[in-house]
Amino acid sequence: MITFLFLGLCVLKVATSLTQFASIYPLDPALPIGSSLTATCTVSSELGLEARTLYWTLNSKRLPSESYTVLNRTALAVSLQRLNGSRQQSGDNLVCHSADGHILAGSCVYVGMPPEKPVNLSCWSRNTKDLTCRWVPGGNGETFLRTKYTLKYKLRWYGHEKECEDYNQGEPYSCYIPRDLALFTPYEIWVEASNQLGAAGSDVTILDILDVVTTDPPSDVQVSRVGELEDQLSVRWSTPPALKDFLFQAKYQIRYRVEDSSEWKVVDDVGNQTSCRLAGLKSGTVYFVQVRCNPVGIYGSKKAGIWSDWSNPTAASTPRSDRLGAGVCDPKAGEQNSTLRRELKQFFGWVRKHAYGCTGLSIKLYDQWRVWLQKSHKTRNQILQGDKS
Amino acid sequence: MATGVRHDAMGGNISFALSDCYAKAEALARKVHSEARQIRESYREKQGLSPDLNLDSIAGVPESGTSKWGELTEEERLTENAVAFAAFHSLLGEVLKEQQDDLTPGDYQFHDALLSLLAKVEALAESTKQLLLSLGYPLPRAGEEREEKGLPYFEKKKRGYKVMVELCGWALRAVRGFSRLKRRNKKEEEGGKREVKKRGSRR
Repeated sequence: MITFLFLGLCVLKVATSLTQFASIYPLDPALPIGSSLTATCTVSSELGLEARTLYWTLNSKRLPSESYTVLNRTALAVSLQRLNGSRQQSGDNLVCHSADGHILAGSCVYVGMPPEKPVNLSCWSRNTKDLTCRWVPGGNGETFLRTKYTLKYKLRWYGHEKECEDYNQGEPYSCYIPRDLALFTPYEIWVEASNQLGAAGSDVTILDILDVVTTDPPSDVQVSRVGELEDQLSVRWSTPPALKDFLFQAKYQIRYRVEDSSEWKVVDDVGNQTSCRLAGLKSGTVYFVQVRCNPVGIYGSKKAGIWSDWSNPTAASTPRSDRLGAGVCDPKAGEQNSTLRRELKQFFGWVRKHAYGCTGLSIKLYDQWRVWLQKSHKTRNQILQGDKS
Repeated sequence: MATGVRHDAMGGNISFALSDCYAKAEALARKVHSEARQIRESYREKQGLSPDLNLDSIAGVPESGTSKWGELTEEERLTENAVAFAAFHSLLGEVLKEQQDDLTPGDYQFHDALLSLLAKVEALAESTKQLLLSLGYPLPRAGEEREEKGLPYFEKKKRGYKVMVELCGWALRAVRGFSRLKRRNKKEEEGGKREVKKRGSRR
């Protein structure tokens, strides 16, 4: 009884510590795709196991015994040919088992490719305070191995290189530098990719922080009706507060859409004003409007600047038309009006510049005429209806 | 009489506060269990491990399976839970580091999930210790500092999986334990209220 108990305890001890008595070589190798690998499992003679009774699995799938070679009483080798890329980033599990299935030893095999040079490196700074950079892995991006990307930067003519540390910004292949960036002096920025099989660096991008600035979206966007005009809305906004003293040359863009449509119309020629009038709209319709800013010329930069995000949508509705046939949309007429108004504006501008004497002509006069026109339509319709009754 | 009423009211308040603690601890243990189960499966897939991987040979991870849970005292159950969750807090931290540095670098979503679970396990360890204190039981001695061994990758994978498997088991044990405490406390509360009523009617 005692002997049985003793033997039982011995077996238990063996079962719980088998991995101390076996080893695999090579341990955790990294290999290019298409390579061959010969791995050897060596068991301690204390285990009392014979090599010919052992077997191998790769990712839990038993390997055929034809690929085994018994090297000696305690060592069994396996040969793998033309390896494919690793099934998981954590490596393929090549495991040596005893005949009853117990795991004796395991090795993680990493099969993949060295990285190609990262491409399309682009960076932008929010309000000149920080820098976010994004890139695309070279090739088709799949190396089958864990590949580390490091964004590095240095002042072009000074200083040592630094590494970006904040990689987890919810977007892969991007990094965020939160502070301590110099203005008015260029940086060299690049990305280095490395894995167990090699390394590659992107081309170096040289940039001045001021040339890649984007701002917060414009704030306080307000959209309101223009008196009784049925086809117009007035849009006003404030300069983004963080840089408001430096955005006198900034450009703005407006986009708007009808409430139940996903198609946005963009107004490009807003210039650097902080208000604009939308014309040629449908009457009695709700519109969503957004504005964005491009800090062109900030701190004297000559570059194009980067558009901010769009502001949160602001909604407003045009007055409902009381004319006969109101509710019947004639978008073509609206578009004609918008084109006509734009041409008239250009014409009046030219007149003021070149034709002395026509000083009273202005787009305001045209708007007043349109309001009068609509009122006179209303009056005519009332009279007509009165006639009918 | 006033003293008697005040004493009973205070006893009732303590009972109510305990009941609230049990309920919160139970809810937290349920969350840990639910998240640990999901991450366990995710972990297994990402490490390429078989569902029937034998975990016997892996040491250093508290095992939740016990045939004697029903025979343990309340103090023993709470103490074992407190010791286990403190250990899992440390072990899960190592698992996270291994995933970040070696096994799945770049899988930020997975790391975030592990981090979220780690925070809950820490909170559960703390809640359990607070309950021990509230019930007047001694706190278990802090575990020894674990020496970080440079394990081969396959051993790291296996150990990490055992951490996830056993954490699920311990969280389930904790849910059952807190639920039992909550029920017992409720019975005592109701018994206490009946006693107050009886005394009140006799006066």
